[in-house]
Amino acid sequence: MAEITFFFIALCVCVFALLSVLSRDVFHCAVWLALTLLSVAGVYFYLDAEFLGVVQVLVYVGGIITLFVFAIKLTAKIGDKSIVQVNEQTLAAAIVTAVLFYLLFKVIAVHPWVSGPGSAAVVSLKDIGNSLLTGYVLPFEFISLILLAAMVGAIVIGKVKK
Amino acid sequence: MNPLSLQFILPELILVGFAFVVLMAGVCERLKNWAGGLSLAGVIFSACSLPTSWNAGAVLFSGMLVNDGLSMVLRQILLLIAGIVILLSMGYKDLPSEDSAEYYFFLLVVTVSMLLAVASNNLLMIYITLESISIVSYVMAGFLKRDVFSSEAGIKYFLFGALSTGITLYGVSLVYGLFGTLDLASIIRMLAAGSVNQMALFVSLILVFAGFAFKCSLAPFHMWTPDVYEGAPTPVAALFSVGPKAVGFAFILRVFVENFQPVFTYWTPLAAAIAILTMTMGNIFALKQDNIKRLLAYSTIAQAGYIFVGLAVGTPSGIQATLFYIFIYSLMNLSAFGAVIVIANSVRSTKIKDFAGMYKQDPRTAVILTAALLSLAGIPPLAGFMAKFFILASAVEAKSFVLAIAVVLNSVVALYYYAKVIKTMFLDEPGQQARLVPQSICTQLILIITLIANLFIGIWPHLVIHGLENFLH
Repeated sequence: MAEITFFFIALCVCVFALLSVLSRDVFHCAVWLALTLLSVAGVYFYLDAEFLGVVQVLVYVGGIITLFVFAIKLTAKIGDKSIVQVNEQTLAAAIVTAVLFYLLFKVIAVHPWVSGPGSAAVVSLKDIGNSLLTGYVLPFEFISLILLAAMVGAIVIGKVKK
Repeated sequence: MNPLSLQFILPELILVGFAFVVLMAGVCERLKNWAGGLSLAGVIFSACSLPTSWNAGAVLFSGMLVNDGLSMVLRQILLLIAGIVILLSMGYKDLPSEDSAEYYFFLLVVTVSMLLAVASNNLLMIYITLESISIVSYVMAGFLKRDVFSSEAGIKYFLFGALSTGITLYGVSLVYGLFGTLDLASIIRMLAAGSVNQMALFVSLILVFAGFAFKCSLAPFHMWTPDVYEGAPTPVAALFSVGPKAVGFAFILRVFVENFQPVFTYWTPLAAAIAILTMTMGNIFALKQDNIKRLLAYSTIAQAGYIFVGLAVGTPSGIQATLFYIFIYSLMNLSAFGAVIVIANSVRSTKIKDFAGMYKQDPRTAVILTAALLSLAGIPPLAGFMAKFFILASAVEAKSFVLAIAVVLNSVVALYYYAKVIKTMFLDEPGQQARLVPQSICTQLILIITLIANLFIGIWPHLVIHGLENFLH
């Protein structure tokens, strides 16, 4: 049963991801991407990583996809254009991707990975909070500086000169 | 957490403090013009606090940072670079004055990120600092909003950069899957204890390498370099050509040379191939450039190839030669970009043909640019010659004769395009009389200092080498 659930979620991720790059309407792409990200959240829930799953839904589906939709709707003449999804580099890209896929497939096949639900220790919210302010305090605080810089950067690029 | 950890990041904390002050100064109309001076003060205070941070012990923030010879040397070089770039920016006339406080804020944030990056000993920290340098760099590349080329540079840098850091992150996730930790010190212990599948390690490390190679503009990840350098404001291009590059090499050194080299059997041939490809591509494409910024961009690609030779060799003398080269290369390149800023302020162009007859109009700057270019070409008695000499010596010592021959052949090719610029400035007749504009005293000062350093280190290189040895051993 557990296996079937996993394969169903995995299939959803792959199909939605494909649709989001193949769709010719940029708005549809955003919707398919939202579904892809939701399915990835499903993988996290399946692996008992509830916190990660909730964050995935909140940040990606709730925040970033909303931003995408606003950007598409507010950018003139982008919403109703049919976009071309291929260019003259298709063949080269296909070869590189195929080689990479083969290599990754081999890696995943040869290494004895930790897999399946319950195989890794379940981490509680309390543990995550503790480690964020002990072992991971430097990256945690440093990211706040990056966020500030990113916000200032967005304002500098976006603001209209008076 | 080790209580000395905070002492170690004192230089970074000072810079962050000054970054906030600079940002605040931008709000007040009267303080706006002080942003450059304030950020320079921040860098100087930060540099003064560096020696304190060296006494903070070896392993800090639960292994996130490490206080070793490499981080000591590179943090000094990076602060020097930041100081010079701030001085160059103060003399750059195209910077929009209404956004100047934000510009210096970004410069300080990118400096903090670079300082933390070279001390990182955990793949998580390495990834976060890499991403932070990238995000700020995208904004800085596109800072001249009214200039189409600058916006193009920003968007190009963003697209390539996002892809390559994404690939690195995927590689990091595979490494985490293989070892169950991102701490490089623990990974070394696990590698020593048991064997790991070579195939899995190879693929994950290649993916991790992609983002590092992008920052260093090593072939085949170099395509963005000329377009971004051409479009970005010149002081920002100067920063990109030295700062993030030094960080990229530090990452490669820490992750590949120090940690994985014993188990990663493909490293030496792969790195040698990349080094030769990078220097050859850079030099060949530089031959037909007519814009000085594009020419310098291709020249930095070639220089990255020379620097990478030391890492491909991977011996202690190779690592020392690499760090020496990074230091000299930073001075030479900043000197060249600084001279370009001064000349471009007058002729309002970066086309090489507009530099014609510069010697007659502005002899001092023409001589400084000539010295920087000859040093980049590796002509004695300038510092660039000694840097190339040590790289060659380390390759020969490790019996990598192919690499040594490639460096020599490439240096000959490179001399041609450097000499072409010099010929234009000294021998060609000036087209239209350029109006000389008064230059900022800071830029003049920094150009003269780099010229003196260039000569001084070329004649007495052992002074720098002794300093390096003291830190590394």
